[in-house]
Amino acid sequence: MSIADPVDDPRRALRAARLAEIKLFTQRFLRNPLGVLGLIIVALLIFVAIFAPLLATHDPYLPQLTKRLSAPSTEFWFGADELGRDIYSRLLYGSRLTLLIVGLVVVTSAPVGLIIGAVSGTVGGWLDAIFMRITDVFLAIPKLLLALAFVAALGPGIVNAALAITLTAWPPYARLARAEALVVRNSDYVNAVRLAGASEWRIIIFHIIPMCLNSVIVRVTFDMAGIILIAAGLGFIGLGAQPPLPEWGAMISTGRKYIFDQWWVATVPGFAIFIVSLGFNLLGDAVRDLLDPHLRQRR
Amino acid sequence: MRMFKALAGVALGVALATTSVAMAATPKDTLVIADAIDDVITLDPGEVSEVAGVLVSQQIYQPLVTFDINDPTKIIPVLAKSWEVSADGKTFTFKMNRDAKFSSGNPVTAYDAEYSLQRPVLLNTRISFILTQFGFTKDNVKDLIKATDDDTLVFTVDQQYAPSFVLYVLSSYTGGIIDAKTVKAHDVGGDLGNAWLKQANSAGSGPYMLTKWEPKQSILLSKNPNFWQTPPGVSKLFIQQMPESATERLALEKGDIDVANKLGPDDFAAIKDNKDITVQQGNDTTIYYFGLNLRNENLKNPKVVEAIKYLVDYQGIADTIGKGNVKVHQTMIPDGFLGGGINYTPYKLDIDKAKSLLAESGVKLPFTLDTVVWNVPPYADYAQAIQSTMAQVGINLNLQVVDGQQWLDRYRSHSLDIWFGLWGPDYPDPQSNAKTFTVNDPTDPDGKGNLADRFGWNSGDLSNQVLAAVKEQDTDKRRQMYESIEKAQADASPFVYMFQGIRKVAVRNNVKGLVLGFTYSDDRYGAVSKE
Amino acid sequence: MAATTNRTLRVTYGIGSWLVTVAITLIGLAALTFFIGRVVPIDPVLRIVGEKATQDVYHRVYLELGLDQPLYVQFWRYISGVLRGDFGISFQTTRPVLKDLFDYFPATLELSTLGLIVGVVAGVPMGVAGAYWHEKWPDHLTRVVGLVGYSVPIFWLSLVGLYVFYYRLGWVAGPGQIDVFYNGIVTHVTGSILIDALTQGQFDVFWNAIGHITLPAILLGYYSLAYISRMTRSVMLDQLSREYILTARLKGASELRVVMDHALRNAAIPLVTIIALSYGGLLEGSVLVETIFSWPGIGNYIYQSLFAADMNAVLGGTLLVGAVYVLINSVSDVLYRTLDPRAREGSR
Repeated sequence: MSIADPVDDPRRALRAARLAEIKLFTQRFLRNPLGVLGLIIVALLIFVAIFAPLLATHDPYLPQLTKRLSAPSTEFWFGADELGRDIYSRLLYGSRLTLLIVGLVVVTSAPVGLIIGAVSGTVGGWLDAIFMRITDVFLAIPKLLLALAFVAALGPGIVNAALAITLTAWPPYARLARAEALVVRNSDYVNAVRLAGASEWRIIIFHIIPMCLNSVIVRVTFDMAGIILIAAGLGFIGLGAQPPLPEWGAMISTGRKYIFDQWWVATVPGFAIFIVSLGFNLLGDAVRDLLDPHLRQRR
Repeated sequence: MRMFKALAGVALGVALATTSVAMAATPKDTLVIADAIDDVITLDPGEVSEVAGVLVSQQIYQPLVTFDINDPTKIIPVLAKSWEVSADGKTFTFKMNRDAKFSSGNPVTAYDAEYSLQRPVLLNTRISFILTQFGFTKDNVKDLIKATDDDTLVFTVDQQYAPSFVLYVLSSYTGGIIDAKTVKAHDVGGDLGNAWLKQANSAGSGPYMLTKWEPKQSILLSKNPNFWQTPPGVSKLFIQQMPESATERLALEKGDIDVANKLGPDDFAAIKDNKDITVQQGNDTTIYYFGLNLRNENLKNPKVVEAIKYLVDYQGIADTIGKGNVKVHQTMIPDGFLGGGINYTPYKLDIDKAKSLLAESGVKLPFTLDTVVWNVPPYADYAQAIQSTMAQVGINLNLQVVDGQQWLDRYRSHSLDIWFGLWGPDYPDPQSNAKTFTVNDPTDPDGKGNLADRFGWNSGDLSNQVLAAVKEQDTDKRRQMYESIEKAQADASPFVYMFQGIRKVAVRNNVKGLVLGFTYSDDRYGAVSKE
Repeated sequence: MAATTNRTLRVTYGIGSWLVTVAITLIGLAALTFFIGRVVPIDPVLRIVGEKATQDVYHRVYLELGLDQPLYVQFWRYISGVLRGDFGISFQTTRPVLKDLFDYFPATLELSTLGLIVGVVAGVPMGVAGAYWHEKWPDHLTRVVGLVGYSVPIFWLSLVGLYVFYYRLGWVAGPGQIDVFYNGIVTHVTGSILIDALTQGQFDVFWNAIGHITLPAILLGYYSLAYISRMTRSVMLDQLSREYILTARLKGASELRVVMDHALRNAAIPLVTIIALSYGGLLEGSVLVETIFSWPGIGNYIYQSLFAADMNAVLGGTLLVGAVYVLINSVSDVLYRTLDPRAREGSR
C-alpha cells in the first residue's frame, strides 16, 4: 500500500490544473477594470437584495398620505412617491424583484433553448427544419412587442412577465446550441459513444449539451441586461409587477405623471435600472472576453 | 463623440429657433379643448355612450326637453314647446317648437323626433336599454312612439312612472333628435343611417356640426350655419386627444390649448397662481365606490362588510390624493339629484372598531381578497391607500392594475371579491343610481343589469321601495322616499360609497360663456366666445 | 461551363428557398399573433357594445364578429382576408385596419429614419475612431458611450429628456408630432409631415414639426448609435489588422487615406448590414418612445389597440412590423452573402 493510489494521483493533478486555471482566469479578469466594476455592481445588487430590511429606513409599503411627493430630504433620502412612501426603501426592496425576474427568465429560457437547439441539431431532418422555422418566427417579431402580446394574453403579474420574456428569450439559445450540436454530433468521440451503443437521448444529454454550455453561459450573462430592460419596460407599461410591489419600471410609470414637478419620483428608479443593467453589461463583456473561444483565438 | 455633440447642438439650435414661433396663441375663431377622446368609437346619437362621444354629440344634437343647470329639478323645453301627461300617467304628448331647424335647413318636426327615438330600439344598440326600460320592443315601438302630425309626438310607456323620470330620460344623450329626411337618404341596407352618422357626418339642430373626426387624435366641429338659437361666439371647436394631466397643464400654460378637461389634483394645485387661467367649478354626479362580492365566504358575513366600511381613510384620501377633485359622500344618490344632499356620512377610518367587528364576526384572519383597479388616476392611488389600511387588520388586498377593458370584463363576470369603480348616472334622475345599486331582478341573478345582483346582494324590501319610488307622482313624496331608502341602503348594502366628484375645468381667461353640465359630459359649448 | 449552370441553379434555388423561408416565417408570425390575440382575457364584444348593453345586443355582435366559429375557421378567415389586403375593421377607429396602418406607419418611418441618420452619422465615426485609436481614450469613450446606450432604459431617458429639454430648458417642443393648432393645415400626401409640409410650402408647419421630432429622433438615434458604433469598431479593428493595411502604410499612404480609402471601403459591406439590422431594432425601440412622445406612429397604435382589446388592429400592426423586420433582416442577410466573398464560403 506504499504505492500512491493510482487513481488519486491523476485526480490531484487534475485538481491542481483546475486551480491553476481558475487562478489564471481570475488574474485575467482582474486585469479588466470595467469587468471588475460590473462585478462590484452586481455583487452590490445581491447584497442590497439580501439585506434590504436592514438597510431600509421606512416600510416600503406604508403610505403616509400627508407626506406624498415630498422632495428628497434627510427623512426621505430620495424623496417620497405619490402615496408618501419612501422611494429609497422601495428601491432597495425592488432589487429583489429585479433579481427574481432575471433569475426566473434565465433558469427557464436557457434550458429550454438548450434542449430545443441540441435536439434539433443532433436529430436533424424534419424535426430540425420545423424547430428552426419556429425559432425563426419567434426571432422575427421584435422582442418587446412579442413579450407585450404574451403578457396581455397571460395577464399582468411579475411571474407572467418573466414567463413572457422567457418565451421571447429562448430562440437565440436554441440557435446557438444547434450550431454547436451540428459540430459536435459527428465528432469522433460522439461517434465512439454511439458505436458503444448509447441511445441518441443519452448522447444529447451527456455529450452534446455539456459541449454547448460554455457558449450559452456567455450568452446568458450578456443577455441579463437586456432582460432587465425588457422587464422594466413591461413594468413601465403596467403589465409587470402589480401594486404595491416596488418594481422599478412600475415606479417610473407612476412617476411619469409627476415628471415635470416632482422629477425624483420617476428619475431615481430609472437610475437604479441603468446602473444595474450597466453592471450586467460590463460583467457580460468581461466574461465573454474570457470565455468565448473565438475571441480567445483572435487575441 | 464631438461629432455627435455638434449634431445634437445643431438640431437643438434649430428647435430653439422654432419654439419661439410656436408660442403664439390659438386662433381666435377656434376653441381648442384638450381631452381624452380615445374612447370614442361612434358619434351616432342613437348609440353613443362614451364620455367624450357624448360630449361631442351634445354639441350637435338637441333633445326635446332639458333641465335647468342651476336647478335640475326644473325641466325646460328645447325642441318641444310644451307637453302633457295623460291622467293614467302613461301617455306623454309633446308639441314641437316650429322655430327649430336642422343644420340642413329642414324644420324640426314630430316625425324627426319619432324616427330618432325609435332608432335605438329598432337598431338594438348598446344604449337601447335606456328606452326599452319603458317597455318598448322592436315590434311595438312604431305604435308607442308616434307622430300624429308635424307638431305632435305621442310617447306611450308601459306603466305609470314619475313624469319627471320619463322627462329626465328624454333629456339625456339618448334623446338627441336627428334630421330624419337627411338620414333616411343615407340608409344603407336598413341600417337607419347608422354607417353614415357613425363617424363622418352629422344631422342635428345643435350649435355645431361635425367636420372631421380623426379617431384617437382629434375631433373638429364647426358652427351650424342654420342654428335657430343664438349662435356661438367661435366658429370652430377643436377637441385634441391629450389624456395626460401634466401635458395638458403645460399646454394650457403655454397657450397651446384653451380648455383643459382632464387635469388631476396635482396640476390644479400647480396652476393655482397662474393669472392667465381660470378654474371653473361645476357639478359632478360621479360616485366613487367599491363593491364587495357577497359570494365570497368571508364577505357574506355582514360584520365583515361593516368592518370594511371603517377601513377607508375617507377624509385623508379626499384631502390628499383626491384634493379638490372629490368630496366625501357615503350614499348612492349624489348631491344635486332629487333625494341627494342628505349629508349622511356615518363612516370614518376606525381601525379599532373594525378590529372588534371582525372579532365579533368570527372569521379567520388574515384572509385575502382579489381585486382589479383601472390603471387611470386616481383609482390606483385610492386602491393602494385602502390596501394599506386593510392590511393593518389582516385583510390582504391582492390588487391588480389593469386597463379599462379588462377592468370592465372582470367586473361583469363577478369573479372578483372587490371591485373599485365609479358610477356615472345615465340620466339626471335618482332612479339611475337607486335602481342599479338596490333593485333585485329575479330574471337576472348574475346581475348583467343591476349591480345589486352582480355583487350577490339580496336587498329585500329596499328593492320594492325603489320600484315604488319611481312610480310616485308627487315629487316631494318621491324625494322623501329616496332619502329614507338611501340611508338604509348605505348601511345594509355591500357597497362602500366613498366620494362624489367635484367638476373642475381649467380654461384660459379669454374664454367666456362655457357652461358646465350636470351628468358626465354634458358641458355646453353653445354660448362660448373668445375675447 | 458546368460550373455556370451549377451556379445559376444554385442562385435560383437560393432565391427560391429564401422566398419560401420568408413566406413560412410570415405565416407563422400571423398564426402566433392570431392565437395570442384569441387568448387575451379581454372580451372584444364588450368593447364594442359597452358595459350596459343587454344580452341580445351582446349576442348579435358576438355572431357578427364570427366568434362562434371554431378557432381554425376564424384563423383561415383572417389569413385569407389578409392575403386580399383585408385586415378587418378596427372597432376603435371604426375604419379598415389597412387604412389605419397607412396612416400611422409613415410617422414611425419618419421618426426611425431620422433616428437612424443620427445613429449612423454619429455612430460610424465613433466606431472608426475607436478602432483606429484602439485601447486609447477615443476607444474607451466609444465603449462607454455604447455601453451606456445598451444599459439605459429608453423610456426613462425619454422622460428625462422631456423634463430637461422641453420643460426646464424649453429647447424643444413637447409631445406630439406638431403643435395643436397647426393640425389640419397640411394635407396628408406621403404621410410624413416634414415632407408634406415642405412640398406644400408650409414652412411654419415644417419648423414646428422639426421642433417636435428633434428630441425623440436624437433619443432613438442614441439607441441605435450604441449598436452601430460597437459593431463598426469591431469590423474596423478586423480590417485594420489585415496585411493590406500594412502594405498601404509601407507604400507611404497617409493615415487618413489608409483609414478612409482602404479600411473603411473594405468594411463597407458589413457596415451596410449592420445599419440595416439596426433599422429593424429601431422599429422596436420606437414602441416605447412613441408612447411617451404621443407620437402617432405604429408603436403607439399597437400599444393603444392592445389595451383596448382591438385585436384586428393589434394583429395588423404586429404583422406589419414583423414583416418589415423579417424583410429587413433577410435582405441584409442576402446582401451580405452576395456582396461579401468570404461569407459565401464555409460558414458553419
